[in-house]
Amino acid sequence: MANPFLRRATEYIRDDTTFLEIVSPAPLTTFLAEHPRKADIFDLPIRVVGAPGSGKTMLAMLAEFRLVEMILRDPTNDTNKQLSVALAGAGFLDDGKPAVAAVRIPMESEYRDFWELPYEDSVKTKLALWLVQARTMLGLLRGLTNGDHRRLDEIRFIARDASEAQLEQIGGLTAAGIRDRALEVQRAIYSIGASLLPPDIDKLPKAATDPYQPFECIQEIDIPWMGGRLTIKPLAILDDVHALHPDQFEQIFTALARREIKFGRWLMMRLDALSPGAVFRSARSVATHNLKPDRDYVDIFMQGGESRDKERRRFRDMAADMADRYLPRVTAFRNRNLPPFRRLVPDEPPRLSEAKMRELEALIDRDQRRFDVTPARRATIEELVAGYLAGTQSGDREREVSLAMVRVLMARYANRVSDQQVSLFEDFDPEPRTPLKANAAVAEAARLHLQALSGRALHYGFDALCDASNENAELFLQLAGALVARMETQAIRGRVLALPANAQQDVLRAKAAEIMDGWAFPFARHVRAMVDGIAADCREVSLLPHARLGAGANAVGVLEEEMGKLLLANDELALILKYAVAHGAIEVTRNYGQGSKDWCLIELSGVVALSHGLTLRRGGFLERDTDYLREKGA
Amino acid sequence: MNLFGLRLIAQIMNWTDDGVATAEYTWLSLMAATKYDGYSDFRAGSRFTENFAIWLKQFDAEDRQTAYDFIKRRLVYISNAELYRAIEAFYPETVTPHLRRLAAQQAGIQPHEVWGSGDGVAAFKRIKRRSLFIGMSDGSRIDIMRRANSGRITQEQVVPMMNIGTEKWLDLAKKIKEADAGDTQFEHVYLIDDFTASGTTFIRFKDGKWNGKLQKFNDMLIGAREAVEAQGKTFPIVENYALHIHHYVSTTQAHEALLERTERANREWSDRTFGSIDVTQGTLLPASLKLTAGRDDAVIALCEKYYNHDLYLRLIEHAGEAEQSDLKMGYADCALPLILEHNTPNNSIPLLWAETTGENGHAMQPLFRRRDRHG
Amino acid sequence: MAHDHWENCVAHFDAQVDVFAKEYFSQADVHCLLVAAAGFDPRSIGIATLLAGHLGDRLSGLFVREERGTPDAGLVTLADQNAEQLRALVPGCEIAAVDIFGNDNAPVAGARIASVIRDYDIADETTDIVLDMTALSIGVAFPAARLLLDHCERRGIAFHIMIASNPELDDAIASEPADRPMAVRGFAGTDHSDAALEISRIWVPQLAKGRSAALTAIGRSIRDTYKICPVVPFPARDPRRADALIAEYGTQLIDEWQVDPRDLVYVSESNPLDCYRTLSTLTKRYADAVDQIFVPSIILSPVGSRVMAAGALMAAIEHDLPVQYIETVRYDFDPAKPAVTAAPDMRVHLLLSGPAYSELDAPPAATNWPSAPKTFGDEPA
Repeated sequence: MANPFLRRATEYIRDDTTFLEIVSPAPLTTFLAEHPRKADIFDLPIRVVGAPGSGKTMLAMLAEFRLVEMILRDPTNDTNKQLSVALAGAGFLDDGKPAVAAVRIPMESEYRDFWELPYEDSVKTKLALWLVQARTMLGLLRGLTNGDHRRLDEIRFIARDASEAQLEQIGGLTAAGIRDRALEVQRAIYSIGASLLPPDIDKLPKAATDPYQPFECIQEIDIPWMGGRLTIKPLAILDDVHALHPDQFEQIFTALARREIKFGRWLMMRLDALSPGAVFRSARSVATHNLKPDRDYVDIFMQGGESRDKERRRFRDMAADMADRYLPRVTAFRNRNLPPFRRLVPDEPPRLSEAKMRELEALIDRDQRRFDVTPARRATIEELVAGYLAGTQSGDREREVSLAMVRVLMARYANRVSDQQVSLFEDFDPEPRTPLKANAAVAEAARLHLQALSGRALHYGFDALCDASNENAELFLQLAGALVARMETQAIRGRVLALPANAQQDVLRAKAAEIMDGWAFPFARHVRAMVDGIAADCREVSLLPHARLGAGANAVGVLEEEMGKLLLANDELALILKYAVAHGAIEVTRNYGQGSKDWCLIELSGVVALSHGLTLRRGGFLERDTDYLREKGA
Repeated sequence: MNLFGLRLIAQIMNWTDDGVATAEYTWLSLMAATKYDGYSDFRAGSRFTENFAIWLKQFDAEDRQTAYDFIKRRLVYISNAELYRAIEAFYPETVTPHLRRLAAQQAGIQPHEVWGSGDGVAAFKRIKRRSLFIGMSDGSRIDIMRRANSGRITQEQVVPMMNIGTEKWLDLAKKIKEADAGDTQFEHVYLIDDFTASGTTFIRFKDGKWNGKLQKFNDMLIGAREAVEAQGKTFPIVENYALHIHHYVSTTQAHEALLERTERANREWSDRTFGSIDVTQGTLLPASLKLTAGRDDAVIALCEKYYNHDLYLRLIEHAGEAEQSDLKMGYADCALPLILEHNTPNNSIPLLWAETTGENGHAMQPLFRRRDRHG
Repeated sequence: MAHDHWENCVAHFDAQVDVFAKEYFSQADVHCLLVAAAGFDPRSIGIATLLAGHLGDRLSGLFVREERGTPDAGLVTLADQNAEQLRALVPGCEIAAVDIFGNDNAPVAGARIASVIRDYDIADETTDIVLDMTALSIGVAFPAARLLLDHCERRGIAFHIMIASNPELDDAIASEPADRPMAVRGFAGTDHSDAALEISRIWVPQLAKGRSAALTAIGRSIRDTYKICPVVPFPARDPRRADALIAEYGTQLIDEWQVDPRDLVYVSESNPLDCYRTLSTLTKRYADAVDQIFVPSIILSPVGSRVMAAGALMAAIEHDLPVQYIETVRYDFDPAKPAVTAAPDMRVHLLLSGPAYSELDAPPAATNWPSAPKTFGDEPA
């Protein structure tokens, strides 16, 4: 009963063909094709910074020569056509042929382990760099000879301005020579790194300490290609460099930024909004090495580079694409004619049962009396609501929404004409002294209230599913996977596959809770306590009848200045927040301007919103401080 | 994934909540694939899921949840893969340490010193050569045991069944000398079987008489010795040999019963051929496995309600005797929730394995049907 | 590196451990070094108490206090108490603090314990070294075992492993995993990069309660596995333990790892030698099966019970297998919970080297695993 949605896609794909079917070309287009410095991305050192789940590793894997070749050799395949276009746009192809030979080198823990060796920094850095280079050369050659498309002796390396001594040190310019030398270096360094008792500095093997600089010598590679020959640019993609010790990263980066290096080099790292200093800590020290951004290196950010809307649309397309590719692979669906995934999670609004409707109506009537609203006033309000709903584009205009909207407006009315300001309410009031208005915010508030009052589904439909995923492909797959599991049950029972709104809500809420229960990372307990606490407060405020925050709150705001101070101090709370961000519990936006103040916005992730019944719409937040966060996370 | 079977179960269990159904389907498919589908009596097209549906159906609607929960939370299913582990562990974990202790005694050293002493190693090898391994039934899977230990013990030390004819004894007597001329007789005999729930099949005392496999073995040996010596040959087992009883799977109850009864036999049998007797097992099932009042009331109630006395009558017909008055909780009232992949023991509650026609009462449907000569 | 004698490894269990300890350690010419944990685990003291009772002042101790960032205050107190008891039991012992994480929160346990052991002066008169694996984490215990075993083999002295195991207690200790899986220091396996043939990997994760997030992360860090063979306990004190684990890991087994049910490996919960034998057989069979076609690589992840981990340790040393794990950032444990006090510890003793095996094989050749070009301590005269 394998459900491919429940598998953690990318890193897990054992088979290239499968990977190509599910990888999305969007990151290539979005972040590379349109980058202002596109022309330099294979010459200068590039720092690619992406949030977890942003697809940076997928990008690196896709760019590898092995896969590019596979794509180009089967151009009739639709998937491959799409991928080619994207690759060309990003500069990997030229005139339908490869222009770049890339290899991905994951910066696994063994590199970090080098920093524990009992030698001077410069020695440790050299060892790591030599190893990176050796692995790059070996990886390149493996990729170039993959599938027996060419032989080792058909590959030639081209050097520019390299002395004979340098060439000898890298094994010459033949592929065989380079390979043998790389193997020698790798073997020697691997044994040092893996050792329990590292050798004395003067007993290090020669192969590990002799100069070895293929990155400095090699400028291009000359290979046979479909009957002719091609000159392509080599590119080393170092993935997950944030796993290095910060000092180590600084030194390696500086070394790789040297002008003498001809090889293309990308360093991919995970974004950390909460300590821009940590990841970019090298920014200050980098300056001391005389490295300037944009001149000596280029940063590419894989997220937030575009407007939120555009980002959301892009993600939805990618997600729909991915889901449609996965769907036919679900065992239970194998012999069926499947509609696009979108149609299996329709956003047709739920309808309350008659009994619940009556309950709701009774409640509204009681509230009308509670709020001291005259029948005439109520009628006016109802007209306002009716007018809004008639003109709105939203598909959800059920009678219960109308009723709940009336309730919200009645409560606001009571608020505005009452002399007493109940002290529970904050100072922050979005609509002071203006006449009542029925709008989208009120409608959203109504739907949220309906979930609490009548158990009416709030989160359903493909767009909601995407929003709840916080633009994280993996998370999307998990949530979609749970929905698919429910569809399988429908299949078993001989029912139609498409899930009604209530079923979708049930599944999403349960899966979100399961994901949160499964959180197992440093400080997970504290993170859980914190988000649960914040969510409870958000919910409380959101459910107040007058819905001052419209659709409701799903975030807290802390003054940017206060947050800045916290991050510089050696505070456990900072660590908790970092891990919370890294593992998708919260999203952090710095310098969020609102009400003439600068906030650091801490938004609960989609999974938390699903679990606690909060809105997925962004913007509503509670004003708090760091003490509050500390208390909630205790 | 077995769509049809799952749909049946959903109907039978009346799962109106799709969330529940989805979760249960996952569990059912998982356990079927990992374990239960391997049950020896299942055939293609009718494995665990289908049989589970049919089994559940026999119960009244209000009883089905109890039955379902019982399978999900109480059942212990020992697959062949697990049993093979117990078979493979027998020699290195039970025999070797024992041989080492004996070798140490003979060499006059401590057991842990055996591998450091020439005398110790020689003694170890000698005692090993003079050990005979006999399977008490097919379940002993002696073939697997032998193959797992090829290189350590020879074919001539392994006998697959208890009924050993004179010819075979003579053959054993001849072959034992092949490794070392000094070996003329076996000093240790291991009787091996797969499972014991109460120890009753192996040894029991009733109406002033001893019965069971040990009794049979003892008698058989006496007869065999006479027959071989009558031919002027040496019987290949010494007098007062050390006898070792080993079951791959044993309940705590059986272990205690075997200890107690073999100790008595050791004292009381005037014609015993063995000089000492000890009891070991590969896996010990805890005493808490058995269904007990207070803890398993709901299931016990089902055992009562859906019981068909034909079962008991069938047992009496074939076994001629029983120390119980009904079979509601299985043979010897063991009340076990246990399945062995190659066949369900009749010590398990019949609810799991019994099949009756329903002529005189409820037609019992089995989940893991027991194949066997008597009930 | 051959340890043929491990086929006949001297082992003792439960009550027999006491008998053996009395017979063996009371001998006047036995001088023993005990290396163990000085942490919060209530099982930390048992073995030390047993040995101290028989050895008196012939026992020296090196106790490791694993330092992990910001532990729970209650656990710190428990650890302090245990440390006190150990000092009382073994006067003159050394309690060494070992940082599990570097100042950038990267796991560094292996490198740190290696230097602690390298710098510790093992007395010349030492005839036996006992490693009590009970409460040491994998990242510390495995490198320590390798170094100490090597030391003992060079000198022809005895190396013992002892464990007080309690699966129910294990289940009650929750752990928060760190971010990155990695190879245990000293257990990176053979370097296959220049292999002419393709590498075919089998991953052997030991399923343990509550560790699915950790195992999933470890699994993802191992690319391209040909097959995954999860290990579950049978025989076990609770006959349903394996079933419970299978249910807990349902998603992993079916969707994530796509395990063929025939590939489940059952291993004894109480005897490490069963795990050792099973893994050895698996290794040999696989190597035979892919001979000339692929380069076999079997990767172990013994995340749960120490008993099974000890068996994995032996297999890893014997066949140079890589061990992939994920460090623990924090432990969560409430000693007052009922499950914890209910079931008794199961004790294990293994004798892995020394004069006791002199008749079985020649002393093994000097270590040639890709590491120590250097030894610690003096070469024997």
